[in-house]
Amino acid sequence: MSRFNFDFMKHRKLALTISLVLVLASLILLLTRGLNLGIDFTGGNVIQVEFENRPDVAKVREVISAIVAKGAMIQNFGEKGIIIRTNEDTEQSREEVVKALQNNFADVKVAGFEKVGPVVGGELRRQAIIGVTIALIAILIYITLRFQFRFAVVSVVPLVHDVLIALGFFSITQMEISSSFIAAILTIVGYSLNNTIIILDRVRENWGTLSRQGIVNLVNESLNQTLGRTINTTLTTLFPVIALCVWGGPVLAAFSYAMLVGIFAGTWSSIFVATGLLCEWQGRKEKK
Amino acid sequence: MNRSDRFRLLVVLVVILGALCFAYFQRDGLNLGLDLKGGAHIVLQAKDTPENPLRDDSIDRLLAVLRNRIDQYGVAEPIIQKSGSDRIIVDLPGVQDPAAALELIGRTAQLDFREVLDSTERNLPVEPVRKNYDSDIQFINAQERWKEEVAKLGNASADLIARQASHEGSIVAPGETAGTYFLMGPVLLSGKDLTNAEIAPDSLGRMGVSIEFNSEGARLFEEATGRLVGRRLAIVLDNVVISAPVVQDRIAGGRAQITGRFTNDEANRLAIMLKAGALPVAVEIAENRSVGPSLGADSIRQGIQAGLFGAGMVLVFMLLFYQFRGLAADLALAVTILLIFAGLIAFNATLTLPGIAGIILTLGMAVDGNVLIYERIKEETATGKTPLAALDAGFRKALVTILDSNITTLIAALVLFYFGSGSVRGFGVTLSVGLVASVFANIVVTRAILQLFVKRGKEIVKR
Repeated sequence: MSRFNFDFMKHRKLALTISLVLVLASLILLLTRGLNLGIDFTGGNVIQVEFENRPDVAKVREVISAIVAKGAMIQNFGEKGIIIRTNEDTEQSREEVVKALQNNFADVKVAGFEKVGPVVGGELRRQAIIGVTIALIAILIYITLRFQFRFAVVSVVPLVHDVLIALGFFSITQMEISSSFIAAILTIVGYSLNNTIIILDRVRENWGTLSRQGIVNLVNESLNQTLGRTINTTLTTLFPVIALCVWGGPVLAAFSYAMLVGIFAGTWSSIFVATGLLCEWQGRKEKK
Repeated sequence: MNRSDRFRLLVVLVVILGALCFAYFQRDGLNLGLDLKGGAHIVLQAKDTPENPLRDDSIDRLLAVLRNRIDQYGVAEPIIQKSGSDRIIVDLPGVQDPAAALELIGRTAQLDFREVLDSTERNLPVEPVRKNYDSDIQFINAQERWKEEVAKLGNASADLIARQASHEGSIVAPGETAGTYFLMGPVLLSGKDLTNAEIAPDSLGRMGVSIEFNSEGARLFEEATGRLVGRRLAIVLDNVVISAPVVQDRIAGGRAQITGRFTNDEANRLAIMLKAGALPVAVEIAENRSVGPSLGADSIRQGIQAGLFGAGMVLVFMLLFYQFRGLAADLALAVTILLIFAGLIAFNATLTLPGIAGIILTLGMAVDGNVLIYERIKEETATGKTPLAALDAGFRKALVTILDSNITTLIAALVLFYFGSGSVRGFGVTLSVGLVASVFANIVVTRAILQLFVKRGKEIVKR
């Protein structure tokens, strides 16, 4: 059986630089442009309405702008729906918007609404940060127990990398971040880690040959041995995610696209970032 | 086939049959979340006010009153539960009119009977209506006069508030008509003393609520009406005077009629609230989400569609890439899906839209185990092992990897389950169940199937 043999680690400096640039760009975007946080985090009202004959968004905006002082986000939703988001988090403000719509459009129907008060929004933000942090620490501990601390560190760095890139993508596109985005982020963490661990697992298996062939060759060998699996699993995971992006409907859109970006970032970081860092770390140790 | 193989096959068959039967007979046990079947999700936050301070048992009493109200309102399968120390989550599936439901559960419904000491009501002229006037100018003049009167009433209410201090236990509260205020004496009797409340029209056909007092209430009511003949008795609901009739006679027998400006539905809700009792503390609505049934149906349809296409692509890919073994992986995937649904039913979990997304994602990640095993078997075969030995070695070596990688993902899924709320929690549940099911399918089901094929292949060669 002929094995594909590619010298991944020859390009590790370039790959690490690309990753570093992407991460820094994401960080800058997050700090300057920020994220489009949904009402789950900020508090506010979302109203989903359906029309027999959907009017222009501009027309709806005209009707609503008289009532909502702070400005509303209005978008088409599905085939005949329109979704309206305001930052005013009272029941009364929602009722006024609905009344105004009913006065101006005879065929409007409220399909659903969401109101989140300011306290709940702030709590969710805190929960999200605590949740992701605890997940990362728990994973770090597990890998330290199963492998060794150095492996744990080089496998958590790609996770931070993937999460930041997914956040950067949401900053560029300004897609709305809802609570299911947290689910997407943690799933990306799980997926990316899965990939990294399988490669590191092979590195551990081949560790006995370290003194004979050196860290770079060892990592390359491990990468090539697991390459078939990496490609196939990436594909089988991509298929459902693509299906979700295409057919999953508008409610899941943010989740689906976050996963899509996460899978690409996760595959890239497992192949280059975790292993590249391991080579650099081990290489430095050997020079001493 | 040796003993452990036979045992494995038996386990697989029993699990599949068991899961099939369980899922089939308990198929009504799969709970759909409100985002899928429509309904209202309301989070109430108890408020600490000087009149009704929050105590240790406040939330439990609140819970009991809410249960009572919702039961009487007639919502099928409501979920009413505590969340944290000062919140209550109310899930009302399939509610058609979320605003009415909110009115029912969010309102304190504190009913008091008080003596009217004075009011600004008798001075209030009727608000001018345009059609009663010949010209715009006359109408505008009339409006001006009316506004002046209302302003005077404002002064009068300030006067009432000033006088309140000299009457112990008295309050000033607005009436249902704009601009009217009442100065009232202490509480004579309250909603606590009710035994029953029913919707009933009065003699003029106006909608009202007829109430019945318990013996203590009946005694107090008789005493009060006896003392107040010819004077006015105010019926105060949540600090608004809903009516203040003049007492004609001493009323014995413990029955009374509340008439106000109610619609049929409002009177009905009031009757329910009075019967169930007032909320022990005031609440405010922290979160309120409502999904119409059509939106939920759309989400289910889209979820199923994405799931079918996603699963289809995975199945075809495995079949094309691994042929025979791909078929085994596909069968294992079918078992995974079956186990996920059986598991969700068994854990009484709620399937939400993100939960469906979790299942769809699991489809892709579930075959990862098969890919790992098959790639290992390829490697082992390349070293010159027999098919059976390669199979054994492949499974043995891939097992550790599969466990390691799935346990780390499981950590993330459990964190979601523990820290998430609502639909995110649903995602954590399906992801966790999916991971466990897929590991079982990978290392037990796939192996049993492959073992079957490999052995049979050998026997065919022998013949």
